[in-house]
Amino acid sequence: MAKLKISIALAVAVGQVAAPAAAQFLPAHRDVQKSPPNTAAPGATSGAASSARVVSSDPTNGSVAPAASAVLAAPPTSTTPGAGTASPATAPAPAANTVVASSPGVTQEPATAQPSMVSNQPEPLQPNLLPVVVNQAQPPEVTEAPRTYEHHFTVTLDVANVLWRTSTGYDLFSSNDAAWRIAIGFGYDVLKLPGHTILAAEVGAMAEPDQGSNSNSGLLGNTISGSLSAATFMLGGSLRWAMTQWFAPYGRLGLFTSRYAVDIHATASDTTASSGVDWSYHRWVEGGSLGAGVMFNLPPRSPVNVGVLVEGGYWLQQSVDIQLEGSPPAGSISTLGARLGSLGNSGPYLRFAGLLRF
Amino acid sequence: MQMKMRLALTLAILNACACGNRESRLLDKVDVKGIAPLGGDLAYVQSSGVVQRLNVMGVNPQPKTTKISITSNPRIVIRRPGVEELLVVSDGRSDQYGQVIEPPALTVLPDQNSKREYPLVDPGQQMKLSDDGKFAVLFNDPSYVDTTSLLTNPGQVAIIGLDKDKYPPTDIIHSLDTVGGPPFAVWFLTLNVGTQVGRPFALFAFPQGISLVDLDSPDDKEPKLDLTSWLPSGGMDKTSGFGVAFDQGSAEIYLKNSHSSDIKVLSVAPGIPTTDGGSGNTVNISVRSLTVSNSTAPGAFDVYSLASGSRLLATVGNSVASVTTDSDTVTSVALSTPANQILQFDAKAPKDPNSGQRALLYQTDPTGGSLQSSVTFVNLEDLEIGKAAALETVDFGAKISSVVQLPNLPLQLLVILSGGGIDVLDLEKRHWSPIDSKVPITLTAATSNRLWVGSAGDNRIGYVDLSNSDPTDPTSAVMLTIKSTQLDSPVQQMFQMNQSSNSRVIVTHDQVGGAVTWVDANNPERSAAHKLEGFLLSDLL
Repeated sequence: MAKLKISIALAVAVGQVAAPAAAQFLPAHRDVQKSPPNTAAPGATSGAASSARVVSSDPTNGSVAPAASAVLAAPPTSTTPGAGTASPATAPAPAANTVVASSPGVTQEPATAQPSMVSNQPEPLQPNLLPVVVNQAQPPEVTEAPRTYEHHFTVTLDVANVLWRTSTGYDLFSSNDAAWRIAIGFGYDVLKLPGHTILAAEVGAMAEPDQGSNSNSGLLGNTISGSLSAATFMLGGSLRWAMTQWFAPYGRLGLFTSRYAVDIHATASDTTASSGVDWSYHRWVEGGSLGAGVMFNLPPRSPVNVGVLVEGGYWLQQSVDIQLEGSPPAGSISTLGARLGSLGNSGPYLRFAGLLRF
Repeated sequence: MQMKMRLALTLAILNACACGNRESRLLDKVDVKGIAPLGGDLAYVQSSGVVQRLNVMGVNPQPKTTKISITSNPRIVIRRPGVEELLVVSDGRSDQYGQVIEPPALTVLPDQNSKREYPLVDPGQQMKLSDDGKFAVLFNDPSYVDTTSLLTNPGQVAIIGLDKDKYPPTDIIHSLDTVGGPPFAVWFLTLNVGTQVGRPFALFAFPQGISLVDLDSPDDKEPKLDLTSWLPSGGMDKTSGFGVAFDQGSAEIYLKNSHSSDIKVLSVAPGIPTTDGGSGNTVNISVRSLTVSNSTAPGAFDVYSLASGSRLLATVGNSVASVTTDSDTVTSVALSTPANQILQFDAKAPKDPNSGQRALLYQTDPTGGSLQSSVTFVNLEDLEIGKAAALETVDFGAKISSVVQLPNLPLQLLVILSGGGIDVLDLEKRHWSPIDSKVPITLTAATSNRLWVGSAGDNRIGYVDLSNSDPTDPTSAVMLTIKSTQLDSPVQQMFQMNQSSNSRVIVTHDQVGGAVTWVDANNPERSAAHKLEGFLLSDLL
């Protein structure tokens, strides 16, 4: 009798240790319906009993108690005869040692399917010496909530980024007001605030490729043309409200500096053989932007997630003087070129970007 | 295909989003019709009717201009003689149906940033200014083709008194009583008609005669004269060698043409009032003839005065003739070199320490076929007595293309040679200094003792310093120093401008947006020069 008690105690102790470990090794997705309902009996009785995995049962009828969500429902088919006379020692198992099942009545897989449970098996108990009815002899069948990854990094690549420059100065370079740009950005979630709000820091680079008018653009009777390019380096931050796992509106504030390169070409005069003239220079200009948008991404089920964002806002930047200024060779006569006007860089913008989160 | 349609749709949407078009004013070419100094500025007159003034006499160079709008389509830009004003004749604008949007006008731009406009009747007229800058006459230009009006009145002229305080800007349009066709030329004369005070007249030349308009009373009926019998068959035009000279004191006008050896003399007398109380003609004209040669028409002629009376100096073939206008007595002296130009001046001569009336006879020919390499000096006061002794020939060794009088150096002539190079001719010493140049000299300007020259399209300007070998003795030999200044762009035009203590040579360059280089006339080094460019586009955007 003393030996029996020791065995039962040992079995319970092993079960307390092994149950969480088994749960930890459960695959995230398991098709529990594929398991045949009777795969656990009768061999499973001894096997499961020896691993002492599940012990939460209703002492009155032997069925699994629906205790909260942490209840493992044991199929009736898995009980052995005499289950209704369960030993008091085995009856109410601590809930902490139970394996979570997503729904009652889910059948467990055979314990033999769990390698971790095969190892460290104690010596099987003799049926005639084991009056204990273990009504949950199999490892628990668990259907977990899908795993959610928490991403901290965001990389954006603008597939369409347009700034509307309505100043007359831009007419030298373009026949319309839209300046198309490409950009790449990198963000990191630095702070989680209450209410699913996240503060992120961002850096980025943007290029405005050569936007130019050619000599046939009609400017001043086809006598002048200009081209403009810009490179921008940005620092900024955004405040994002993760309404759902896949949708987050946000606001963004950016500070940046841009290098504008201006080239102006005047054609040769039609009255003499004098050659054309070129002026070329660059300027650094600072500015800031304030925008708001929404971010869509797939539910975060994998380490790397994808999505898109749409953002609009206002780009505020100092104007650039359009100057007929060049780099004359050394020894040239001191030359001063006129100021044609200014290139206004402020205006509304709209961007559409793809993003990666990881 | 679907992919293409999607792409096209996307592009269309993007284009629709990229709203905004260029302003139309950015499409118009900056078309400069004329450049002229005005005060301390250089005025650029554009076909759009915008005049942009660039200050070139300031201390610090600034590529900024001030603008003033005038009537569009300017065609003639002339600096008013003797007064710091610019005259611009504009044709105005009409729409495609001939409806006048802007009438033609003469705009006077004074030194200040203001303007006076005189409306004209017809576009496309030519303008002649009096030497003293007091009058402008606009009259028919047969070379102008009016594409809008089917009918025009070629006898309609505008006679404008430019002294705004003396002449009102109204009643300037007059219809001339033409003689055989529209006028083709006009001369300004000052005659003492009945008084010792000169009265301004305009003599209009028509294909078959002339008319004389009293500029002080242009509304009065002008006397006209039919000269058909004296003129070649078919009448006169610009190629007929028609010429006018006048003697103010005797109120006589001399006419010549290249088809007659006679010179017509018009004596102008005060008009006789009509019996009905009207003024009638303000003057009356009587005509007589002078015979200069038996068969050859005069090439050039001019009037000079001696104590014994007025004389007419004329070149006739290879001789020069002095004609006593009262008695029609001709003194003819053979020339070693033919001449068709006369330049009168008062100066000493190498063998005459006293200043006297002299003339320089030389030949020009736009076709270049009859150019000569020598010129003839004539002592006018000694011609009738000394004859050949009154002549002196100077040979330059190369054919003379043109002779340029320098405004600030009246006794130095710039003789431009057709083969390149220039000579500076001292009219007193009758000495010339050869200066070689591999490019044809087409531009000149002069400061007090420095002559600037340039060649359109060349990057260099040159100057010649004229100084006496002994600075304390103005009669000492003139020493020439020549030097060139290289600019960074080809020369278009060159102006010499003075203001207070600044003296600068302003060189324009033919460049989009405008370009000028200003050179300190007293320190013509590159290091002291400045170039301004693009000022016509300043604040365009």
